[in-house]
Amino acid sequence: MRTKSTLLLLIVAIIVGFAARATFQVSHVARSRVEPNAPNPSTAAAPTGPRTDVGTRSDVDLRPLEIFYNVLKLVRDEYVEPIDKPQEKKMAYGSIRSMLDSLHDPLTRFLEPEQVEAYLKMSEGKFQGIGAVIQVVQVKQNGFTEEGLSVLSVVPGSPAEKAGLKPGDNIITVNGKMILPYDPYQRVEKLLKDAQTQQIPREKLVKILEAENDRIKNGIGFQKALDMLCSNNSNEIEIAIKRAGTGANLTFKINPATTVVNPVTWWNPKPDIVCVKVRLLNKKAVDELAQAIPEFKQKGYRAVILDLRDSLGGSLEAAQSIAGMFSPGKTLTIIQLPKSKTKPIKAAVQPADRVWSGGLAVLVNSSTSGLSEVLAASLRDNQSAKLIGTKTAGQNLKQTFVELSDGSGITITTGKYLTPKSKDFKGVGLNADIAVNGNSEQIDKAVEILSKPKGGSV
Amino acid sequence: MKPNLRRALSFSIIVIIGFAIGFFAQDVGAQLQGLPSQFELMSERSDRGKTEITILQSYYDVMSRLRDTYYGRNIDERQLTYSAIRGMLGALEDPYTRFLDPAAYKQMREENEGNFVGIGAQLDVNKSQQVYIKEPLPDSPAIKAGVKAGDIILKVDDKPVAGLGIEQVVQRIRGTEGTKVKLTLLRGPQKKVVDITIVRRLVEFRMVRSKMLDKKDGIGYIRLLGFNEHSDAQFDRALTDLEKQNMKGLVFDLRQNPGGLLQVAIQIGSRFIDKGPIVIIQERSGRRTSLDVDPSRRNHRQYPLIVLVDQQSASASEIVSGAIQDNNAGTLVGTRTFGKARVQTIHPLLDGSAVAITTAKYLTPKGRDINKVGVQPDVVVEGSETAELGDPATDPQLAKAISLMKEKLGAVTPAASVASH
Repeated sequence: MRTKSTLLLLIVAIIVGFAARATFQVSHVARSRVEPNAPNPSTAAAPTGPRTDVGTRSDVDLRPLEIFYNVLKLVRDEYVEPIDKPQEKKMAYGSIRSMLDSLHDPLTRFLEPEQVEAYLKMSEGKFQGIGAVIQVVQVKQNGFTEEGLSVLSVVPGSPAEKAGLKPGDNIITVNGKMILPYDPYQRVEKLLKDAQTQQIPREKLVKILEAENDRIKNGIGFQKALDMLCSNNSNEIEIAIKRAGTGANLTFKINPATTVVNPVTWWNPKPDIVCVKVRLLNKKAVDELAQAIPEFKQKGYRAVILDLRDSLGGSLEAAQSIAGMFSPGKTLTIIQLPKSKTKPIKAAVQPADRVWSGGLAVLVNSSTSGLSEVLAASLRDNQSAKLIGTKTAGQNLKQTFVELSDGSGITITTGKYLTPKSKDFKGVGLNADIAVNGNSEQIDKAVEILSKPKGGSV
Repeated sequence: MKPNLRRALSFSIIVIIGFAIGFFAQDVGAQLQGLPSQFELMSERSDRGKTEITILQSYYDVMSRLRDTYYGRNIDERQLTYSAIRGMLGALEDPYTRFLDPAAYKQMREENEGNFVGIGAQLDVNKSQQVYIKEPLPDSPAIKAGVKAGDIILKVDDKPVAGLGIEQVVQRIRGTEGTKVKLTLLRGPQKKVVDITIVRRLVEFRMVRSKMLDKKDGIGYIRLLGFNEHSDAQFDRALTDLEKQNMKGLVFDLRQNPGGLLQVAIQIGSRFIDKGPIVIIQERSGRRTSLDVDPSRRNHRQYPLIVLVDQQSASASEIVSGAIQDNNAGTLVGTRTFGKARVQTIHPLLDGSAVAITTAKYLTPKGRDINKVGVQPDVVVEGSETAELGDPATDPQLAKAISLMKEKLGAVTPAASVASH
């Protein structure tokens, strides 16, 4: 036994030696993918190649890696059942999921290949499941944080819309199961702690504990519930909600199906004013706008109403391209990165025929979220475009998706989008410059503003 | 050595290749499920062949990503790794293969060693939510310093403990061996306040409770709370003590005993079985090893035996009760046992944490696998929620054991019982 453990230590030492070397090279290769100007990866991989990153890597603590490797090796060698391939996959998924969940950050999570597919399809405007965009709400109370689900927006033409689900609905149960946070035992732990110092009648305590036990036993983790709502795997999903405002408790039965959203549509509220609705900031939206704007100019339109109500954001690259059609080359956003670093992102420089220079107003509402909020803020800051409507969602965290080797993936929070004036609007949203409620009222207001002759042109 | 070196090498190669393949990253903007994302990289993505996920590589990739790019609270790589290990082991769906962080492992070691540094007194909470001394242990620093059962603890080292829970009070009383702790106690109906200073010493957990249930018929009772390094010696002392009181039959209580060390189960089991296996260990290769009676533990007479078990008698308790049943060495009374027939090996890790891995199954001497099934008692008697274990007036299982024992003692004369040995 003794010799065995010495041997093990020796092996570990050797592994650490190699792992350390691997790390240096790895970081270099990885960097070269991000920055096109970095040296050729093949030279970097050679032992004699330049290794500028070595210095910055010496602070990496390899002990956690050793510990993880040791446990893995022990399980593979000694576990009572031999570990087969499906088991290895489950272990890999389990470790990533548990590691990311321990951060209690809903944006940072593991996605199985099926969820990755659903996630990527959404970028093409194909929404699976009930067809609602659902946000994770973290509520802090009694000294701990619990996660819940609420409807941010409902995709037009989706099963959710047909059933009557509305933005702001708080989801209470899915198929009769209560939504559970990351740590469903927090309440019980708090209760037992309280019971040590306060006098809680035993009968009452037992009753609460039994109720908690039921809730946890018959509950569903919020991530599982989300995945169910965003997949077509079930025939019918029953959702119980509490409606914001009225407080009404309602139940819906919804049959999941794919809903396709056209990212860009437009119409004319006035013959010389065009209202362009952009629901998603993706490649298709960029292509369609690149064709539409020259057309608007050709038709002699005076003004564009950029309708970003219910707009869900999208990719940074698409946001840059679209911003470039209104304020080319100007700052789109300043990204707040880890370790107090910031990185300004500029709007693309588009060819002159694709740049709109006429009147511009932007419609926003409480479902305008993510990069759509960033776009609205930049048009306000750079082009003095008025934001008309209601306060936006206030979701400016930057999330990065990384695909893993077998098609599963992770998303992680990697920064925060600030306005060009470095304003953080997380959780607060952007205030409308002109606050107006109601769909047609908002459009009327935009038309009214854009119909006024500009101050300087009198 | 050679294959291991090769393994180490291939590990480093995997790490490098994994990264050279590259990743596909995209930024999306909000706290939503399934976000609109970037398109351009789709072609790159589909060009790439999918490969099976490997545990170490994915752990490494994700950790590196978090370290380099995560925006939020600071990354604690150690805690993240602990979580990763918990998730990895959780995928095996075996509750006994588990990770023990340094605090949990320390506690486990203490429990197995059966020692702690303290004053040697059992605490409880009274109806007024005050922590009091339920019982100072024999030979303990507490009893030598004059602590008495019933003393209410007012202060520890001059700091009031009112409002603190029992665990917090225990924490304040425990400390380093040889140091002093001052207790301010409220004693007796006169409500006298007493200050007692006690030197903290290494104290053995009391794993055994014993008494004569019936002096006339000579029915002894031993309750075993767990299987740690002191259990067998304490058990031996209890038997000697009861024999001095003319014990003719023994009720051995394994109820609510969660188990413990395998070798201690063999020691205790050896006290009741003549010879042969106590338990058979089956490794994953299928190889079976029989762990036999340890003759050095057969230093007492044999008595008619009744063993009390319940659904919380687990692991080592089931080894002992299963062996007794298979050898007809006693009668099992109570309810079906827990059903844990798996052996864990504990491996200490580099930073004071440890991992418990299920490495073998065990079978009873007759080859029964009782995992998830448990040991079925010979006489089934349900327990009572309000039972005070060891008190025949409130404990129906014990009451049944006593009446069965009286039958046994009536049928078997003491001389015959000695002769059978």
